[in-house]
Amino acid sequence: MARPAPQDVATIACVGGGTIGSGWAACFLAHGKDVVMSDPGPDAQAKARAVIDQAWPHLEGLGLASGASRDRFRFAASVAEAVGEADLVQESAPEREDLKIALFAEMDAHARPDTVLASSSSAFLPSHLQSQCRHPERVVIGHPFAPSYLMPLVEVVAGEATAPEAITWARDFYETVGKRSVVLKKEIEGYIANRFQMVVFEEALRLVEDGICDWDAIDLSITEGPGLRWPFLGSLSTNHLAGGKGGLEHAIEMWDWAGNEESRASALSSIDARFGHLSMADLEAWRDDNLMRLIKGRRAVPAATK
Amino acid sequence: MARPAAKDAKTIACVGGGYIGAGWAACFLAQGRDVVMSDPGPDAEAKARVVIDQAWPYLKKLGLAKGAAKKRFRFVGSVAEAVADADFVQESAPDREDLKIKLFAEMDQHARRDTVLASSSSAFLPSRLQSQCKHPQRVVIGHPFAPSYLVPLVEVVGGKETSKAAMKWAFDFYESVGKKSMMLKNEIESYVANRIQHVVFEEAASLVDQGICTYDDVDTAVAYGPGMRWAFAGPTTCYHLGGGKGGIRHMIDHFGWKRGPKAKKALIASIDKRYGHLDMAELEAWRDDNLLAIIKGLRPVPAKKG
Repeated sequence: MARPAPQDVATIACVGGGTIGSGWAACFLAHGKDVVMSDPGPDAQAKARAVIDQAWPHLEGLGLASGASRDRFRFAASVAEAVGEADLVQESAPEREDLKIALFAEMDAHARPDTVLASSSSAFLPSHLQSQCRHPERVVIGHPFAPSYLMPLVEVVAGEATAPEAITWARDFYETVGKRSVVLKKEIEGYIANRFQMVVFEEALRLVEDGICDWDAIDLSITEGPGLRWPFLGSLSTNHLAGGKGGLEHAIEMWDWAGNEESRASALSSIDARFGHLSMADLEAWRDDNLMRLIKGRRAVPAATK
Repeated sequence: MARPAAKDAKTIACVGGGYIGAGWAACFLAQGRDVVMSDPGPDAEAKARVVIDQAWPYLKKLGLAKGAAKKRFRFVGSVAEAVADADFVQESAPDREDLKIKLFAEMDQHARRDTVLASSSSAFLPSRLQSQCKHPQRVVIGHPFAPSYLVPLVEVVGGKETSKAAMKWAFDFYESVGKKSMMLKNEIESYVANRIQHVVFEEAASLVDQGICTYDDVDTAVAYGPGMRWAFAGPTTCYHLGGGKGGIRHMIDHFGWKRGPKAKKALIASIDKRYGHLDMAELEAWRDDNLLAIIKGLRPVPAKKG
């Protein structure tokens, strides 16, 4: 049986049913897929169903696909049974490289040879995870963000032995279940987004240890400032808007450019491709509209009840 | 005349009427204050009024204070005239240190001696800006984020000569006009939030230079990943949520803590203070509500016409 088209995936195996794996299961179920899960842990099934139940109202809020149902979730007794009939395998076992390498070898042995095997790993190199597989060309990283039933981003990463078709297929598949995928051009530990989180946390630590501010202020400095712009602008586009009428080009002139010449040119062309059709006034109106929506839409932390 | 209580500041001088200064003016007007602006640039008054007009519909949606009116804006011919009767001065001249040092000396000479003088500078040390003032104790940084009429954060920074009373007054004043202020304990160039933005951008440029991803990917990874959480949960809150039931303590045990014990203790205390009254399920429900509001609320970049 050949690999189905990404939009025709019917059955997904979730190997590992912790918070991340169960969150994936909820996401897949909400998109009208059948989900088969395996997890050797005690009470794994009950715990997974609790996460799916917690996720479901939010997924209903986003809109369920036709035919979507929590009844289409099934728990299997072994990895072999879970992956046997799957059109995609999403592995979310504990983050230990040796364990994942062994698990990929096992999934590889029992899944159809062309089924894409994706790992939720947040750090490991796919070249390592695929190293014991007979069909390593279908092994990819498909790294989600917590909670995996709501956060759109999935980082898709290939190892040395991964086929380009498997990467394209995984990217397209994630888009069919409402995700936004980013395909890395080369593997790197920690991928992209977690590296951003890490440098933020390191800078925060430095500021606290140098006595500049305390930890409460660190969070405030993000949530009340740049954090409000990042959900719709990201990092580069924020600089484009900071440049006023001159846009990114002007912003670059004012600051020291952090990258090399080639990346400077690619930054400018990235902005041009995405925003070149809009005047700065149009772009500012869009930004302000989104800022209003965020400021009015978000909720403060529930207060202590006395 | 003594310094009024922060919430009673009635007349605000905006020295510098570019995008930031005019945005401040809009914010102050919306909070029912009188605003007097000076700016030597050509067409400065007309340009400032354009920004105020652009900002006004959003400020209306957020809710205007009683008596708030755009007609309470007045443009004057000199810095001396603008600051003379002001209860507070917000300087937003171009970000050049020599220019700002001279401007602070001039404002210092013409403002009442106890009027707090705040700079919108995004980088300079307040010790430098106050260095030519006769009354340097009332000079602070009050650094906003673009657009200054909508983004809540203001970083309040004191120089060597700044009094605690002036810092506290500025903090309270910004809160009274709907901002979220944070006080730095020590001055540092670029303060806190811009340093955090900067390390993200540096990491992004480094990833692009290494051929890992493109700038489009950078923005997607930030906006659909960590950036979406940063709009309501700062880095330490995300770290706490990442630990599952064990929260921040589990994260620290799991990943190890390579830095000093003091910062670690302070981090745990900060989390306990803010979230100790909530169990992890409640905190996750709050996170999910916010994510859903953001995902449903945000609007994509307007498409090309035709």
